[in-house]
Amino acid sequence: MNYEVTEENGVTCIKINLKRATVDVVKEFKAFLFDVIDNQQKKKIILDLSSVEFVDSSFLGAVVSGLKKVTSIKGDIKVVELQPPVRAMFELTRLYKVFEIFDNKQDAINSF
Amino acid sequence: MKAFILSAGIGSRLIPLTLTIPKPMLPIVNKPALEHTVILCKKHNIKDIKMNLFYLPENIDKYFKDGKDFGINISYSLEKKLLGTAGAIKRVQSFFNDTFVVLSGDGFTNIDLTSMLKFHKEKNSKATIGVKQVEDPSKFGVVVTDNDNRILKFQEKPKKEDALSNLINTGIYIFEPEILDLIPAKEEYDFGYQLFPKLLEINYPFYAFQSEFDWNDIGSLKDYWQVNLDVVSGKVKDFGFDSFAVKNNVKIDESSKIDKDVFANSVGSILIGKKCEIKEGVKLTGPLVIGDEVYIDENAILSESVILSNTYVGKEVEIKQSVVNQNYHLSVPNNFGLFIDDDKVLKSHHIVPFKTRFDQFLINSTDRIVAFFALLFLSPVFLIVAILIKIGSKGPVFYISKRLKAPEVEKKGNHWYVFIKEKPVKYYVFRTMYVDADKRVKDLKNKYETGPFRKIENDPRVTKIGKFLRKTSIDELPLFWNVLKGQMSLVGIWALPTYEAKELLDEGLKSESGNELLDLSETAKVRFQGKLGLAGFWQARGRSNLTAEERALHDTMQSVMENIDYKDKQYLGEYGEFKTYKGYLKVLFETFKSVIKREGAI
Repeated sequence: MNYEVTEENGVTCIKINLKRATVDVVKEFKAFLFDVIDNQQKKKIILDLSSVEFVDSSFLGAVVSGLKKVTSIKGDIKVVELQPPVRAMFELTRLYKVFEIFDNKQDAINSF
Repeated sequence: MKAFILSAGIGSRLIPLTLTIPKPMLPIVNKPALEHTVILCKKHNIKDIKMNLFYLPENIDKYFKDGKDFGINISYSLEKKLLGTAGAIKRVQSFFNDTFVVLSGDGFTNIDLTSMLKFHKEKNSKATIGVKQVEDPSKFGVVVTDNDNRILKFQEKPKKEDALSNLINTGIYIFEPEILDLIPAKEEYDFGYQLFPKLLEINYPFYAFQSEFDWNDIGSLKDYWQVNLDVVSGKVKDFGFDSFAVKNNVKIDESSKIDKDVFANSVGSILIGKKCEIKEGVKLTGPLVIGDEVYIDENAILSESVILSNTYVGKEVEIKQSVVNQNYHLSVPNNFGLFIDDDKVLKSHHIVPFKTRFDQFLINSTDRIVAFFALLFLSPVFLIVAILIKIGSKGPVFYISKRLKAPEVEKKGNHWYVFIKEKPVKYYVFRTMYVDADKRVKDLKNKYETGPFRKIENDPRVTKIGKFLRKTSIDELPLFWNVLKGQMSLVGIWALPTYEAKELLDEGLKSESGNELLDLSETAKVRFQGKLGLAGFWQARGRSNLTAEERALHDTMQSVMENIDYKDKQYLGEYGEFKTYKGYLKVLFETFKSVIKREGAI
């Protein structure tokens, strides 16, 4: 499974089991994320990016689209465990100001 | 006595500072936080230190080496996978043969370890925690003790209202080596979440040492800024600046050159590092920490800030209550980083293009040649289109769109202001709307949701032939004229009309319900630093099938890649080639393909 979903204390954690989260997978990822938000009505979402080694603007755009959806129902998406290249992308595009970023999942869960 | 210093921290909340410096190496008054901890160990007669490393490990081990320069033995445990606080110590169990201290490498403290050890022995404790009173314990491990300081309860990061006391765990421990037998080997294991609850369960001799000491875990950027200011202004006891010459309240390294009038103009506690140069007319107001090799040009004004090393502060620049990241080039004009953000960090836009001159020459030539031949071969098409537009509706063939080259923007309160300093560039495109379309934009907003990058299905402003021209992108083909004139490139960021630029910055992008506001202005701001062009990342990637946020992100990323610093290249993956001629051709080709396939139009 490319996307592994677990629930803990009412928080939905989506672990992305891909080395490269890019334009090649963005269509299916967007559909998956929007399904979690629109149909399953999940509000507290954590994206676990520990396995991801590279993201591009397509993927980041999809995550921001998801964030926009979820904020309109008063929820939030938080991201955890960024590897340095992924961290760099969040930094360079200044998305680190838009998302709350955590070192580990537990801190992110507690922050909701 | 031996000590273990936890030094593997990444420091996500300290981005962007921690992108190139691991958290323990962030300077506090010009010395790495970790060095202050090493000095503390030495002061309390610790002879051997073990540090665990994970993130940017070479950064730490190159600085401390075997510890000889610091008068102490230092060795390292490099973790391939983070083992957690307790797991890290378990991994090097054989190192400990007697009572030992555990400290955090990314904190700052002046705790009296000698008294703490005395307390530990007197109580016959096997595990002692250094605790401190705070106002809001919710971010920490909370400790509840009896009258004898024995720990009764331990809560890890409780909600503020659930906290049972305001005594918190500072991450400073003294342990007997047998405690390590309670920790499972080769797995992630945490003190706060796992070991301490277990100690209470088995009724272990577990005590809290409480005394007056300064402690800061540099958890956030604000904490980092504050601890620097506190230390430089002498609020921390037992902290000496021995290696600095002191003039008035200015502590300055002797290798720095300072204009003599600067001292007369300066007030408050100020620390200036090595090999700095400070020019005439500069006004410094403390508390202020200036790192090594900082060049402050004429008439700059700096107050209550931390300026990290290797930075240039331009003429007449004013910096207030900020942290300026290392390798920063700060000057007016052309600088968006001048706005001081809530989190007090100014981030580098120091631009070192890695596009070679030859690549640039090839790109410029290709722009002109392609534009010339495109106009030549398309002229019959243009003629037919011109006739069709004339027949279709009243008005001229071309629509002149005035767009900003690169707007100057400034944030005042909660709003962005867009200044037009340069004359907007005139763009000639085929007219696709009825002549009074611009006036209808406002009425339309009540009916439809409009905004940057938003498209309207069956827009009533668009003429019949206009619809076809838009669908096929033929309406934009006259833009080759602007390319030929050198006003834009074939590859670049789409120029937005003034009102859309303002909207994009002012609101970020509105959420779908229209009332919740997701502030993307920071991300959008970056976009305006890119050069203008016809084709870009999102045009190359399927165009109208993307959401507004996806397009905005593509533009931002493109602008970032256009202006990126060479040293960041290692992280860029395939973006690394964007600034080369090959990358330029790739975007061009992909855009061409998606236009041909008609995957939606502008």
